[in-house]
Amino acid sequence: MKSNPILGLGVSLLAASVASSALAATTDSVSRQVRGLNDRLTAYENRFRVNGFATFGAVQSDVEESDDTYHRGINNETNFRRYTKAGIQMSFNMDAKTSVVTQFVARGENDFDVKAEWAYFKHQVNNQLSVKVGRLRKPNYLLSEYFDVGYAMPWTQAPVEVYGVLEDSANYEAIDLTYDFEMGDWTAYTQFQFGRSETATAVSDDLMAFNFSMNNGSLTLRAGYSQADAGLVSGTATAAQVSAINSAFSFTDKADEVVKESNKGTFYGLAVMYDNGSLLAIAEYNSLTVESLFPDQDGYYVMGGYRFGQWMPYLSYAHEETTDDDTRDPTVSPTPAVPDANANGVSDIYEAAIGAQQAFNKEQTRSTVGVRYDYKPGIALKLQYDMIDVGETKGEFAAIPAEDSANIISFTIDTVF
Amino acid sequence: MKKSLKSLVAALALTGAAQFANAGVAIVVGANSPLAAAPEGDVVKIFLGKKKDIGGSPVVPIDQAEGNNARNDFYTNVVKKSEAQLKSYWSRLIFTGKGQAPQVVGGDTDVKGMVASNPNLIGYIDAGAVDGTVKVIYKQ
Repeated sequence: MKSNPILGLGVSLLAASVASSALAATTDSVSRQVRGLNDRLTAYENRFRVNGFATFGAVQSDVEESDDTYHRGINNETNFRRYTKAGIQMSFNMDAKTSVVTQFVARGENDFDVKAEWAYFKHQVNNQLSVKVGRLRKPNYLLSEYFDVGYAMPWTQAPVEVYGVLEDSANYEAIDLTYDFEMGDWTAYTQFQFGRSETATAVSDDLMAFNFSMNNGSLTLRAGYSQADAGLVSGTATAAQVSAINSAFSFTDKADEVVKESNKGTFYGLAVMYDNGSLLAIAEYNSLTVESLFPDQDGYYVMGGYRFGQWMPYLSYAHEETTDDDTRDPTVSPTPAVPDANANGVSDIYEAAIGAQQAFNKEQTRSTVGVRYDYKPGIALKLQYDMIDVGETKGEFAAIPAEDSANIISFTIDTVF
Repeated sequence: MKKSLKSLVAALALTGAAQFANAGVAIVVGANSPLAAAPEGDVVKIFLGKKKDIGGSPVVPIDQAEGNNARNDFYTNVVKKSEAQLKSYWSRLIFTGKGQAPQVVGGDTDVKGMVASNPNLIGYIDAGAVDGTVKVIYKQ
């Protein structure tokens, strides 16, 4: 039978007051009661826990044309929504080994619609092995699993050159096996996930991820690999672009590069993080390869910061570029010549296809300087300045911008509670 | 003159004694726990959720509330993390389902009461607060 903690509290208080008025042999009795009450409250608190995080952010760039909106809504008007979000997590321990965890996140950029980012059932098989089933976050990056928790991140926003690649489909339905073990002074984590992800535009079937990381207190080393069969949801703008490309190329020798219904994608990443309490340094490299005309992409960043008491100034540099631009080479002509040739003797469809393909090409660098101020445990303020260069590509802009660079300033208040 | 020098020495000695009594945090388990001693490395790993046993005996850590001397002493000198770093550390584990920070139970007396009545619990208290109900398995 389970005891009601509130009822228990009342009973204990009543018992305590009766005992103290009796005065005889009271001290022992009262302290036993109090101890019993403490134990019961602790047991209750241990079964159900609520944790939360929130970020209030403001971000603005110096790009004037509103059409050249930088990466999802950042332009020259101060945007209070893009970085603002709040999350709440509830964990209920059914017994010592089994728990249910749900995490709900409301993002400003989605009009604060609440979404279940995590919702899973976890069973701790033994001290080393645990199993999770449900909605999880893809463990592709060093920091991806707590990407939303601004307080745990050094920047106002992690570099999109690396973290933007799989951001849209970061949460998915999967099974996760995690095995932890010790190797001398190191603690090692191995993680295997299998699942399926679906967003508004893309579906990834048979998604498998394997990660290994080890930590000895200040140094963390990590390597990860994942693969999936990616396809597009029909009826979207990207799907229309792709079918235009397909129709222009369907009879050429590049047939094997034309987007198929299912395209195998592989992703791997390496990361190293050093944090001795004063010095923080992180380097991370990732590479994504997908069959067909889907862009292949490499990205990396290096960052360093040093804590002077509550202040931590930091610098970082990030870079991304598509590595298969030649497969979208505009000099390749479709053969045989297509019938709808325009004045230049080139197919309209073909030109459109080339244009669409080139919109996939990307090269972007970001240099960042910022400072974090730990106001008190659980509350941090950050101010960050980013200088972005996209060369002749569209980078992370919605379209190829008039100017090839942008400067962004952002400020966040990050909390955990 | 002589008298004031004497009282100065006495005051210094008292300050020293007070500092001595305050110096050090003891890692404790219940007097009836099977554990006898634990290396510092294991203690740190247990309070950071990286380890769940000492020499095969399962242990569950309990924390003191923020602001207590023993807590400051323990995290500053044994675990070597500031409160802000601890918050970051635990948010990375909590929000990814990898772990939960130890239960906070109050101060020295609460820790002693709880470890004394549960042989699996491990806590830290001011070295000056150690009594017969608990067993010191590591001290700094």
